[in-house]
Amino acid sequence: MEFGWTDEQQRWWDDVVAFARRELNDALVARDRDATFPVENWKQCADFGIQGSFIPEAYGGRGLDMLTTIHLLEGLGYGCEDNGLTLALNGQMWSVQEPLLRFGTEAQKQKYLTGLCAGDMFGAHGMTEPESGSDAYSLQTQAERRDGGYVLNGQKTLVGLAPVASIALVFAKTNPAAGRWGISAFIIEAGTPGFTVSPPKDKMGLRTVPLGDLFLEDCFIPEENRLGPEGAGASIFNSAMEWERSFIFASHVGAMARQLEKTIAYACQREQYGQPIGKFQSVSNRIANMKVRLETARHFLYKAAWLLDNDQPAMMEAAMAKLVLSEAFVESSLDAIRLHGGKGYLADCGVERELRDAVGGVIYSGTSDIQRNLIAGLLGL
Amino acid sequence: METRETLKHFIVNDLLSGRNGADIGYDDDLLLSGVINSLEVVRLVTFAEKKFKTRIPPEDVTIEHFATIDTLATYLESRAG
Ligand SMILES: Cc1cc2nc3c(=O)[nH]c(=O)nc-3n(C[C@H](O)[C@H](O)[C@H](O)COP(=O)(O)OP(=O)(O)OC[C@H]3O[C@@H](n4cnc5c(N)ncnc54)[C@H](O)[C@@H]3O)c2cc1C
Repeated sequence: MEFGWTDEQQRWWDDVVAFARRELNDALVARDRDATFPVENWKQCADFGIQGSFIPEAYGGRGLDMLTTIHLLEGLGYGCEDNGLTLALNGQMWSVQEPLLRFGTEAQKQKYLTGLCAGDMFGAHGMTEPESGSDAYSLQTQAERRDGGYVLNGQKTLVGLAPVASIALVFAKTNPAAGRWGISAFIIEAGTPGFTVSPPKDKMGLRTVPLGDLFLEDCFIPEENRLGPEGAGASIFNSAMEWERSFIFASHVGAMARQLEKTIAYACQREQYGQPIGKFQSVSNRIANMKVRLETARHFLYKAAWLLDNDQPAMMEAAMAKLVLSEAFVESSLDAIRLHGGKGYLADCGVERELRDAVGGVIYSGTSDIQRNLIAGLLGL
Repeated sequence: METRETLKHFIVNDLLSGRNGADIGYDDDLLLSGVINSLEVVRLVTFAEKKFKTRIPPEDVTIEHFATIDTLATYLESRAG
Protein backbone atom coordinates (compact mmCIF):
# COMPACT_ATOMS: atom_id res chain seq x y z
CA MET A 1 0.00 0.00 0.00
CA GLU A 2 1.34 3.41 -1.00
CA PHE A 3 0.00 6.62 0.56
CA GLY A 4 2.24 9.18 -1.12
CA TRP A 5 2.14 10.91 -4.50
CA THR A 6 4.97 10.66 -7.00
CA ASP A 7 6.82 13.77 -8.14
CA GLU A 8 4.99 13.63 -11.45
CA GLN A 9 1.58 13.41 -9.74
CA GLN A 10 2.53 16.31 -7.49
CA ARG A 11 3.56 18.33 -10.54
CA TRP A 12 0.13 17.75 -12.11
CA TRP A 13 -1.47 18.98 -8.88
CA ASP A 14 0.67 22.11 -8.68
CA ASP A 15 0.13 22.93 -12.35
CA VAL A 16 -3.61 22.40 -12.32
CA VAL A 17 -4.10 24.44 -9.14
CA ALA A 18 -2.13 27.34 -10.62
CA PHE A 19 -4.00 27.03 -13.94
CA ALA A 20 -7.43 26.91 -12.28
CA ARG A 21 -6.75 29.88 -10.00
CA ARG A 22 -5.44 31.91 -12.92
CA GLU A 23 -8.07 31.08 -15.54
CA LEU A 24 -11.27 29.63 -14.13
CA ASN A 25 -12.54 31.87 -11.32
CA ASP A 26 -13.32 35.02 -13.31
CA ALA A 27 -16.58 36.82 -12.44
CA LEU A 28 -17.91 33.73 -10.70
CA VAL A 29 -20.48 35.48 -8.50
CA ALA A 30 -22.02 37.09 -11.59
CA ARG A 31 -21.82 33.91 -13.67
CA ASP A 32 -23.54 31.99 -10.88
CA ARG A 33 -26.24 34.64 -10.56
CA ASP A 34 -26.81 34.81 -14.33
CA ALA A 35 -26.36 31.06 -14.90
CA THR A 36 -23.67 31.58 -17.56
CA PHE A 37 -21.83 28.56 -18.88
CA PRO A 38 -18.14 29.45 -19.35
CA VAL A 39 -17.49 27.98 -22.81
CA GLU A 40 -14.07 29.62 -23.00
CA ASN A 41 -13.03 28.04 -19.69
CA TRP A 42 -14.20 24.64 -20.95
CA LYS A 43 -11.92 25.02 -23.93
CA GLN A 44 -9.02 26.08 -21.72
CA CYS A 45 -9.54 22.99 -19.57
CA ALA A 46 -9.30 20.86 -22.70
CA ASP A 47 -6.07 22.62 -23.73
CA PHE A 48 -4.68 21.93 -20.28
CA GLY A 49 -5.59 18.24 -20.69
CA ILE A 50 -8.47 17.81 -18.24
CA GLN A 51 -11.04 16.13 -20.52
CA GLY A 52 -8.36 13.95 -22.10
CA SER A 53 -6.55 13.09 -18.86
CA PHE A 54 -7.32 9.34 -18.73
CA ILE A 55 -8.01 8.89 -22.44
CA PRO A 56 -5.23 7.20 -24.46
CA GLU A 57 -3.10 9.43 -26.64
CA ALA A 58 -4.45 7.67 -29.75
CA TYR A 59 -7.78 9.44 -29.13
CA GLY A 60 -6.37 12.82 -28.21
CA GLY A 61 -5.87 12.22 -24.49
CA ARG A 62 -2.94 12.20 -22.06
CA GLY A 63 -3.15 8.52 -21.14
CA LEU A 64 -2.84 9.11 -17.38
CA ASP A 65 -3.55 6.31 -14.90
CA MET A 66 -6.60 6.61 -12.69
CA LEU A 67 -4.91 7.75 -9.47
CA THR A 68 -3.05 10.51 -11.31
CA THR A 69 -6.28 11.52 -13.02
CA ILE A 70 -8.10 11.66 -9.70
CA HIS A 71 -5.32 13.72 -8.15
CA LEU A 72 -5.49 16.08 -11.12
CA LEU A 73 -9.27 16.44 -10.79
CA GLU A 74 -9.02 16.97 -7.04
CA GLY A 75 -6.46 19.71 -7.71
CA LEU A 76 -8.82 21.21 -10.29
CA GLY A 77 -11.58 21.43 -7.66
CA TYR A 78 -9.13 22.91 -5.17
CA GLY A 79 -8.11 25.68 -7.54
CA CYS A 80 -11.39 26.20 -9.40
CA GLU A 81 -14.25 27.65 -7.38
CA ASP A 82 -16.72 27.06 -10.19
CA ASN A 83 -18.26 23.76 -9.04
CA GLY A 84 -20.69 23.82 -11.96
CA LEU A 85 -17.82 23.74 -14.44
CA THR A 86 -16.01 20.95 -12.59
CA LEU A 87 -19.23 18.91 -12.39
CA ALA A 88 -19.84 19.36 -16.11
CA LEU A 89 -16.28 18.24 -16.89
CA ASN A 90 -16.52 15.23 -14.60
CA GLY A 91 -19.99 14.34 -15.89
CA GLN A 92 -18.78 14.23 -19.48
CA MET A 93 -15.58 12.40 -18.59
CA TRP A 94 -17.15 9.61 -16.54
CA SER A 95 -20.58 9.13 -18.06
CA VAL A 96 -19.81 9.79 -21.73
CA GLN A 97 -16.09 9.48 -22.50
CA GLU A 98 -15.45 6.48 -20.26
CA PRO A 99 -18.29 4.34 -21.72
CA LEU A 100 -17.22 5.38 -25.23
CA LEU A 101 -13.68 4.28 -24.47
CA ARG A 102 -14.78 1.01 -22.90
CA PHE A 103 -17.62 -0.04 -25.19
CA GLY A 104 -17.13 2.01 -28.37
CA THR A 105 -15.99 0.67 -31.73
CA GLU A 106 -12.71 1.97 -33.06
CA ALA A 107 -14.64 4.27 -35.42
CA GLN A 108 -16.78 5.65 -32.56
CA LYS A 109 -13.72 6.33 -30.42
CA GLN A 110 -11.91 8.10 -33.25
CA LYS A 111 -14.96 10.12 -34.16
CA TYR A 112 -16.11 11.28 -30.73
CA LEU A 113 -13.34 10.97 -28.16
CA THR A 114 -10.97 13.19 -30.09
CA GLY A 115 -13.49 16.05 -30.22
CA LEU A 116 -14.49 15.59 -26.57
CA CYS A 117 -10.86 15.66 -25.41
CA ALA A 118 -10.14 18.74 -27.53
CA GLY A 119 -13.03 20.64 -25.93
CA ASP A 120 -14.70 21.08 -29.33
CA MET A 121 -17.65 18.93 -28.27
CA PHE A 122 -19.97 18.69 -25.28
CA GLY A 123 -21.14 15.22 -24.30
CA ALA A 124 -24.40 14.60 -22.41
CA HIS A 125 -25.64 11.42 -20.74
CA GLY A 126 -29.39 10.88 -20.98
CA MET A 127 -30.94 8.26 -18.73
CA THR A 128 -33.45 10.05 -16.46
CA GLU A 129 -36.98 10.54 -17.82
CA PRO A 130 -40.01 12.39 -16.47
CA GLU A 131 -41.44 9.10 -15.15
CA SER A 132 -38.22 7.24 -14.32
CA GLY A 133 -35.48 8.53 -12.03
CA SER A 134 -34.22 6.21 -9.30
CA ASP A 135 -36.06 3.36 -11.03
CA ALA A 136 -33.99 4.09 -14.13
CA TYR A 137 -34.75 0.86 -15.98
CA SER A 138 -38.46 1.59 -16.10
CA LEU A 139 -37.65 4.10 -18.84
CA GLN A 140 -40.14 4.68 -21.65
CA THR A 141 -37.92 5.83 -24.52
CA GLN A 142 -38.22 3.31 -27.33
CA ALA A 143 -35.87 2.39 -30.15
CA GLU A 144 -37.62 0.46 -32.90
CA ARG A 145 -35.57 -1.49 -35.40
CA ARG A 146 -35.62 -0.18 -38.97
CA ASP A 147 -33.48 -0.93 -42.00
CA GLY A 148 -29.93 0.03 -41.10
CA GLY A 149 -30.73 1.38 -37.66
CA TYR A 150 -33.38 2.39 -35.14
CA VAL A 151 -36.10 5.01 -34.76
CA LEU A 152 -36.06 6.60 -31.30
CA ASN A 153 -38.97 8.26 -29.51
CA GLY A 154 -38.94 9.62 -25.98
CA GLN A 155 -37.72 12.32 -23.62
CA LYS A 156 -34.80 12.57 -21.22
CA THR A 157 -34.81 15.10 -18.43
CA LEU A 158 -32.41 16.75 -15.91
CA VAL A 159 -29.52 16.05 -18.27
CA GLY A 160 -26.27 17.94 -17.65
CA LEU A 161 -24.97 19.81 -20.74
CA ALA A 162 -28.17 18.89 -22.66
CA PRO A 163 -28.82 22.43 -23.93
CA VAL A 164 -25.35 22.60 -25.55
CA ALA A 165 -24.85 18.90 -26.31
CA SER A 166 -22.86 18.00 -29.42
CA ILE A 167 -23.55 14.33 -28.71
CA ALA A 168 -25.79 12.56 -26.23
CA LEU A 169 -25.45 9.03 -24.95
CA VAL A 170 -29.05 7.91 -24.64
CA PHE A 171 -30.63 4.72 -23.29
CA ALA A 172 -33.76 3.28 -24.91
CA LYS A 173 -35.80 0.08 -24.98
CA THR A 174 -35.07 -2.11 -27.98
CA ASN A 175 -37.00 -5.09 -26.58
CA PRO A 176 -39.73 -3.81 -24.23
CA ALA A 177 -40.79 -7.35 -23.24
CA ALA A 178 -37.35 -8.00 -21.74
CA GLY A 179 -37.49 -5.11 -19.23
CA ARG A 180 -34.03 -3.99 -18.11
CA TRP A 181 -32.51 -6.69 -20.32
CA GLY A 182 -34.01 -5.12 -23.41
CA ILE A 183 -32.33 -1.71 -23.13
CA SER A 184 -29.65 -0.48 -25.54
CA ALA A 185 -27.36 2.56 -25.64
CA PHE A 186 -27.15 5.01 -28.55
CA ILE A 187 -24.96 7.95 -29.48
CA ILE A 188 -27.08 10.79 -30.86
CA GLU A 189 -25.41 13.65 -32.70
CA ALA A 190 -26.68 17.23 -32.54
CA GLY A 191 -28.39 18.11 -35.80
CA THR A 192 -29.88 14.64 -36.29
CA PRO A 193 -33.46 15.15 -37.56
CA GLY A 194 -35.93 14.52 -34.72
CA PHE A 195 -33.39 15.34 -31.98
CA THR A 196 -33.92 18.60 -30.09
CA VAL A 197 -32.93 20.02 -26.71
CA SER A 198 -34.62 22.34 -24.22
CA PRO A 199 -33.23 25.68 -23.05
CA PRO A 200 -31.33 25.50 -19.73
CA LYS A 201 -33.53 25.02 -16.64
CA ASP A 202 -33.18 27.44 -13.76
CA LYS A 203 -31.86 25.68 -10.67
CA MET A 204 -30.65 25.95 -7.08
CA GLY A 205 -26.92 25.39 -7.50
CA LEU A 206 -24.31 24.34 -10.05
CA ARG A 207 -25.79 27.22 -11.97
CA THR A 208 -22.89 27.59 -14.40
CA VAL A 209 -23.57 24.19 -15.99
CA PRO A 210 -26.64 24.12 -18.24
CA LEU A 211 -29.09 21.33 -17.47
CA GLY A 212 -32.12 20.42 -19.56
CA ASP A 213 -34.15 17.95 -21.59
CA LEU A 214 -33.46 15.88 -24.69
CA PHE A 215 -36.35 15.18 -27.06
CA LEU A 216 -36.43 12.34 -29.59
CA GLU A 217 -39.22 12.33 -32.14
CA ASP A 218 -39.02 9.72 -34.87
CA CYS A 219 -35.29 10.20 -34.70
CA PHE A 220 -33.44 7.76 -36.97
CA ILE A 221 -30.13 6.55 -35.56
CA PRO A 222 -27.92 4.37 -37.76
CA GLU A 223 -26.82 1.01 -36.40
CA GLU A 224 -23.19 2.18 -36.21
CA ASN A 225 -24.30 4.65 -33.52
CA ARG A 226 -25.42 1.95 -31.12
CA LEU A 227 -22.93 1.68 -28.27
CA GLY A 228 -22.18 -1.96 -27.41
CA PRO A 229 -24.39 -4.92 -28.27
CA GLU A 230 -28.18 -4.66 -28.44
CA GLY A 231 -29.60 -5.42 -25.00
CA ALA A 232 -26.40 -4.46 -23.17
CA GLY A 233 -27.68 -0.96 -22.29
CA ALA A 234 -28.37 -1.70 -18.62
CA SER A 235 -24.96 -3.27 -18.15
CA ILE A 236 -23.28 -0.35 -19.90
CA PHE A 237 -25.23 2.07 -17.70
CA ASN A 238 -24.28 0.11 -14.57
CA SER A 239 -20.64 0.16 -15.55
CA ALA A 240 -20.78 3.88 -16.37
CA MET A 241 -22.38 4.54 -12.98
CA GLU A 242 -19.63 2.57 -11.25
CA TRP A 243 -17.10 4.98 -12.77
CA GLU A 244 -19.22 8.08 -12.35
CA ARG A 245 -20.06 7.39 -8.71
CA SER A 246 -16.44 6.67 -7.96
CA PHE A 247 -15.01 9.81 -9.50
CA ILE A 248 -17.59 12.50 -10.20
CA PHE A 249 -16.84 13.94 -6.76
CA ALA A 250 -13.07 14.05 -7.20
CA SER A 251 -13.17 17.79 -7.83
CA HIS A 252 -15.65 18.33 -5.00
CA VAL A 253 -13.10 16.75 -2.64
CA GLY A 254 -10.69 19.45 -3.80
CA ALA A 255 -13.44 22.00 -3.18
CA MET A 256 -13.83 20.68 0.37
CA ALA A 257 -10.10 21.13 0.97
CA ARG A 258 -10.31 24.72 -0.29
CA GLN A 259 -13.42 25.32 1.84
CA LEU A 260 -11.64 23.98 4.93
CA GLU A 261 -8.62 26.26 4.44
CA LYS A 262 -10.83 29.27 3.92
CA THR A 263 -12.79 28.42 7.04
CA ILE A 264 -9.67 27.94 9.17
CA ALA A 265 -8.30 31.27 7.96
CA TYR A 266 -11.56 32.98 8.88
CA ALA A 267 -11.70 31.28 12.30
CA CYS A 268 -8.17 32.58 13.05
CA GLN A 269 -8.82 36.09 11.79
CA ARG A 270 -12.35 36.86 13.03
CA GLU A 271 -12.41 37.99 16.65
CA GLN A 272 -15.33 38.03 19.07
CA TYR A 273 -15.23 38.45 22.84
CA GLY A 274 -11.60 39.56 22.42
CA GLN A 275 -10.27 36.41 20.81
CA PRO A 276 -10.28 34.57 17.47
CA ILE A 277 -13.51 32.56 17.10
CA GLY A 278 -11.38 29.45 16.41
CA LYS A 279 -10.49 29.46 20.12
CA PHE A 280 -14.12 28.62 20.98
CA GLN A 281 -14.43 24.89 21.21
CA SER A 282 -17.78 24.67 19.44
CA VAL A 283 -16.16 26.45 16.47
CA SER A 284 -12.96 24.38 16.44
CA ASN A 285 -14.93 21.14 16.84
CA ARG A 286 -16.83 22.01 13.71
CA ILE A 287 -13.55 22.53 11.85
CA ALA A 288 -12.22 19.22 13.18
CA ASN A 289 -15.35 17.52 11.82
CA MET A 290 -14.77 19.15 8.43
CA LYS A 291 -11.21 17.82 8.38
CA VAL A 292 -12.33 14.29 9.28
CA ARG A 293 -15.00 14.39 6.55
CA LEU A 294 -12.44 15.57 4.01
CA GLU A 295 -9.95 12.82 4.81
CA THR A 296 -12.69 10.16 4.90
CA ALA A 297 -13.88 11.32 1.49
CA ARG A 298 -10.32 11.16 0.13
CA HIS A 299 -9.83 7.58 1.30
CA PHE A 300 -13.03 6.41 -0.38
CA LEU A 301 -12.08 8.24 -3.57
CA TYR A 302 -8.54 6.85 -3.78
CA LYS A 303 -9.66 3.31 -2.94
CA ALA A 304 -12.19 3.34 -5.78
CA ALA A 305 -9.56 4.75 -8.16
CA TRP A 306 -7.09 2.06 -7.17
CA LEU A 307 -9.65 -0.73 -7.65
CA LEU A 308 -10.76 0.46 -11.08
CA ASP A 309 -7.17 1.09 -12.16
CA ASN A 310 -6.47 -2.53 -11.27
CA ASP A 311 -9.49 -3.76 -13.22
CA GLN A 312 -11.26 -4.94 -10.09
CA PRO A 313 -15.00 -4.71 -9.43
CA ALA A 314 -15.88 -1.60 -7.45
CA MET A 315 -19.66 -1.36 -7.42
CA MET A 316 -19.86 -1.43 -3.62
CA GLU A 317 -16.91 0.97 -3.22
CA ALA A 318 -18.41 3.30 -5.84
CA ALA A 319 -21.73 3.42 -3.99
CA MET A 320 -19.97 4.04 -0.66
CA ALA A 321 -17.73 6.71 -2.16
CA LYS A 322 -20.67 8.51 -3.74
CA LEU A 323 -22.69 8.37 -0.52
CA VAL A 324 -19.86 9.52 1.75
CA LEU A 325 -18.50 12.25 -0.54
CA SER A 326 -21.81 13.83 -1.45
CA GLU A 327 -23.15 13.91 2.11
CA ALA A 328 -19.79 15.17 3.42
CA PHE A 329 -19.80 18.08 0.96
CA VAL A 330 -23.28 19.16 2.11
CA GLU A 331 -22.43 18.87 5.81
CA SER A 332 -19.14 20.72 5.50
CA SER A 333 -20.68 23.45 3.34
CA LEU A 334 -23.29 24.02 6.02
CA ASP A 335 -20.57 24.11 8.69
CA ALA A 336 -18.59 26.62 6.62
CA ILE A 337 -21.63 28.93 6.47
CA ARG A 338 -22.33 28.62 10.20
CA LEU A 339 -18.72 29.46 10.89
CA HIS A 340 -18.68 32.52 8.65
CA GLY A 341 -21.75 33.86 10.43
CA GLY A 342 -23.89 36.40 8.57
CA LYS A 343 -21.12 37.08 6.07
CA GLY A 344 -21.29 33.46 4.96
CA TYR A 345 -24.90 33.98 4.01
CA LEU A 346 -24.00 36.65 1.47
CA ALA A 347 -23.29 35.74 -2.15
CA ASP A 348 -19.99 37.65 -2.35
CA CYS A 349 -18.39 35.43 0.29
CA GLY A 350 -18.80 32.32 -1.87
CA VAL A 351 -19.51 29.82 0.90
CA GLU A 352 -23.29 29.93 0.41
CA ARG A 353 -22.78 29.06 -3.27
CA GLU A 354 -20.82 26.01 -2.23
CA LEU A 355 -23.80 24.75 -0.18
CA ARG A 356 -26.20 25.26 -3.10
CA ASP A 357 -23.73 23.42 -5.35
CA ALA A 358 -23.32 20.58 -2.87
CA VAL A 359 -27.01 19.72 -2.53
CA GLY A 360 -27.27 18.42 -6.13
CA GLY A 361 -24.67 15.81 -5.23
CA VAL A 362 -27.00 13.86 -2.97
CA ILE A 363 -29.37 13.48 -5.95
CA TYR A 364 -27.45 12.95 -9.21
CA SER A 365 -25.79 9.61 -10.04
CA GLY A 366 -28.39 7.99 -7.78
CA THR A 367 -29.68 9.52 -4.55
CA SER A 368 -28.18 8.70 -1.16
CA ASP A 369 -31.15 6.38 -0.51
CA ILE A 370 -30.34 4.47 -3.68
CA GLN A 371 -26.64 4.17 -2.74
CA ARG A 372 -27.70 2.65 0.60
CA ASN A 373 -30.03 0.26 -1.24
CA LEU A 374 -27.13 -0.76 -3.50
CA ILE A 375 -24.79 -1.34 -0.57
CA ALA A 376 -27.43 -3.36 1.29
CA GLY A 377 -28.30 -5.36 -1.83
CA LEU A 378 -24.65 -6.22 -2.47
CA LEU A 379 -24.39 -7.35 1.16
CA GLY A 380 -27.12 -9.84 0.35
CA LEU A 381 -29.99 -8.03 2.08
CA MET B 1 -22.09 -30.57 -16.06
CA GLU B 2 -19.78 -29.33 -13.33
CA THR B 3 -20.15 -25.66 -14.30
CA ARG B 4 -23.94 -25.97 -14.19
CA GLU B 5 -23.91 -27.61 -10.78
CA THR B 6 -21.54 -25.01 -9.36
CA LEU B 7 -23.72 -22.17 -10.65
CA LYS B 8 -26.92 -23.78 -9.41
CA HIS B 9 -25.41 -24.38 -5.99
CA PHE B 10 -24.42 -20.71 -5.68
CA ILE B 11 -27.76 -19.40 -6.96
CA VAL B 12 -29.89 -21.64 -4.75
CA ASN B 13 -27.83 -21.51 -1.57
CA ASP B 14 -26.14 -18.11 -1.61
CA LEU B 15 -28.16 -15.78 -3.83
CA LEU B 16 -31.60 -17.05 -2.94
CA SER B 17 -30.75 -18.59 0.45
CA GLY B 18 -33.27 -21.31 -0.29
CA ARG B 19 -35.91 -18.73 -1.34
CA ASN B 20 -37.03 -20.59 -4.47
CA GLY B 21 -36.20 -24.04 -3.18
CA ALA B 22 -33.96 -26.48 -4.94
CA ASP B 23 -36.23 -26.76 -7.94
CA ILE B 24 -34.48 -24.32 -10.29
CA GLY B 25 -33.84 -26.24 -13.49
CA TYR B 26 -30.84 -25.65 -15.71
CA ASP B 27 -33.07 -24.17 -18.40
CA ASP B 28 -35.44 -22.26 -16.11
CA ASP B 29 -35.55 -18.54 -16.82
CA LEU B 30 -33.67 -16.56 -14.16
CA LEU B 31 -34.14 -12.97 -15.28
CA LEU B 32 -37.52 -12.22 -16.84
CA SER B 33 -39.38 -14.22 -14.20
CA GLY B 34 -37.54 -12.20 -11.55
CA VAL B 35 -35.95 -15.21 -9.86
CA ILE B 36 -32.82 -13.11 -9.35
CA ASN B 37 -32.76 -9.33 -9.26
CA SER B 38 -30.22 -6.95 -10.80
CA LEU B 39 -27.94 -6.78 -7.75
CA GLU B 40 -28.02 -10.54 -7.50
CA VAL B 41 -26.83 -10.62 -11.11
CA VAL B 42 -23.88 -8.45 -10.03
CA ARG B 43 -23.12 -10.90 -7.22
CA LEU B 44 -23.43 -13.80 -9.68
CA VAL B 45 -20.92 -12.11 -12.00
CA THR B 46 -18.47 -11.57 -9.14
CA PHE B 47 -18.85 -15.21 -8.06
CA ALA B 48 -18.43 -16.58 -11.59
CA GLU B 49 -15.38 -14.41 -12.24
CA LYS B 50 -13.68 -15.67 -9.09
CA LYS B 51 -14.74 -19.30 -9.36
CA PHE B 52 -13.95 -19.72 -13.06
CA LYS B 53 -10.97 -17.35 -13.06
CA THR B 54 -12.28 -15.25 -15.90
CA ARG B 55 -13.36 -11.65 -16.53
CA ILE B 56 -16.93 -11.05 -17.66
CA PRO B 57 -17.03 -7.69 -19.43
CA PRO B 58 -20.18 -5.63 -18.74
CA GLU B 59 -21.26 -5.80 -22.39
CA ASP B 60 -21.51 -9.58 -22.03
CA VAL B 61 -23.94 -9.31 -19.12
CA THR B 62 -26.97 -9.71 -21.37
CA ILE B 63 -30.08 -11.84 -21.42
CA GLU B 64 -28.41 -13.94 -24.11
CA HIS B 65 -25.78 -15.17 -21.64
CA PHE B 66 -27.59 -14.88 -18.30
CA ALA B 67 -31.12 -16.11 -19.13
CA THR B 68 -30.65 -19.58 -17.61
CA ILE B 69 -28.01 -21.62 -15.82
CA ASP B 70 -27.50 -23.45 -19.13
CA THR B 71 -26.81 -20.31 -21.18
CA LEU B 72 -24.48 -18.93 -18.53
CA ALA B 73 -22.58 -22.21 -18.27
CA THR B 74 -22.22 -22.36 -22.06
CA TYR B 75 -20.93 -18.78 -22.07
CA LEU B 76 -18.44 -19.46 -19.28
CA GLU B 77 -17.22 -22.66 -20.92
CA SER B 78 -16.73 -20.85 -24.22
CA ARG B 79 -14.53 -18.31 -22.42
CA ALA B 80 -12.51 -21.03 -20.75
CA GLY B 81 -11.94 -22.71 -24.13
C1 LIG C 1 -27.67 18.46 -10.67
C2 LIG C 1 -28.24 17.24 -11.31
C3 LIG C 1 -27.64 16.71 -12.45
C4 LIG C 1 -28.19 15.60 -13.09
N1 LIG C 1 -27.61 15.14 -14.24
C5 LIG C 1 -28.17 14.09 -14.90
C6 LIG C 1 -27.63 13.67 -16.16
O1 LIG C 1 -26.64 14.23 -16.65
N2 LIG C 1 -28.24 12.65 -16.79
C7 LIG C 1 -29.34 12.01 -16.28
O2 LIG C 1 -29.83 11.09 -16.92
N3 LIG C 1 -29.88 12.40 -15.09
C8 LIG C 1 -29.33 13.42 -14.40
N4 LIG C 1 -29.87 13.86 -13.21
C9 LIG C 1 -31.07 13.20 -12.70
C10 LIG C 1 -30.81 12.33 -11.49
O3 LIG C 1 -30.05 11.19 -11.84
C11 LIG C 1 -32.15 11.96 -10.85
O4 LIG C 1 -32.73 13.16 -10.40
C12 LIG C 1 -32.00 10.97 -9.70
O5 LIG C 1 -31.61 9.71 -10.18
C13 LIG C 1 -33.30 10.84 -8.90
O6 LIG C 1 -34.39 10.61 -9.71
P1 LIG C 1 -35.72 11.50 -9.55
O7 LIG C 1 -35.32 12.92 -9.60
O8 LIG C 1 -36.73 11.04 -10.54
O9 LIG C 1 -36.23 11.20 -8.09
P2 LIG C 1 -37.13 9.96 -7.63
O10 LIG C 1 -36.57 8.70 -8.15
O11 LIG C 1 -38.55 10.25 -7.92
O12 LIG C 1 -36.89 9.99 -6.06
C14 LIG C 1 -37.58 10.87 -5.17
C15 LIG C 1 -37.22 10.49 -3.75
O13 LIG C 1 -37.62 9.12 -3.47
C16 LIG C 1 -36.50 8.36 -3.03
N5 LIG C 1 -36.59 7.00 -3.55
C17 LIG C 1 -36.96 6.60 -4.79
N6 LIG C 1 -36.88 5.27 -4.90
C18 LIG C 1 -36.45 4.80 -3.71
C19 LIG C 1 -36.14 3.52 -3.19
N7 LIG C 1 -36.28 2.41 -3.92
N8 LIG C 1 -35.70 3.42 -1.91
C20 LIG C 1 -35.54 4.54 -1.14
N9 LIG C 1 -35.81 5.78 -1.58
C21 LIG C 1 -36.25 5.91 -2.85
C22 LIG C 1 -35.29 9.09 -3.59
O14 LIG C 1 -34.11 8.80 -2.85
C23 LIG C 1 -35.71 10.54 -3.48
O15 LIG C 1 -35.49 10.98 -2.17
C24 LIG C 1 -29.34 14.97 -12.55
C25 LIG C 1 -29.94 15.48 -11.39
C26 LIG C 1 -29.39 16.60 -10.77
C27 LIG C 1 -30.06 17.15 -9.55
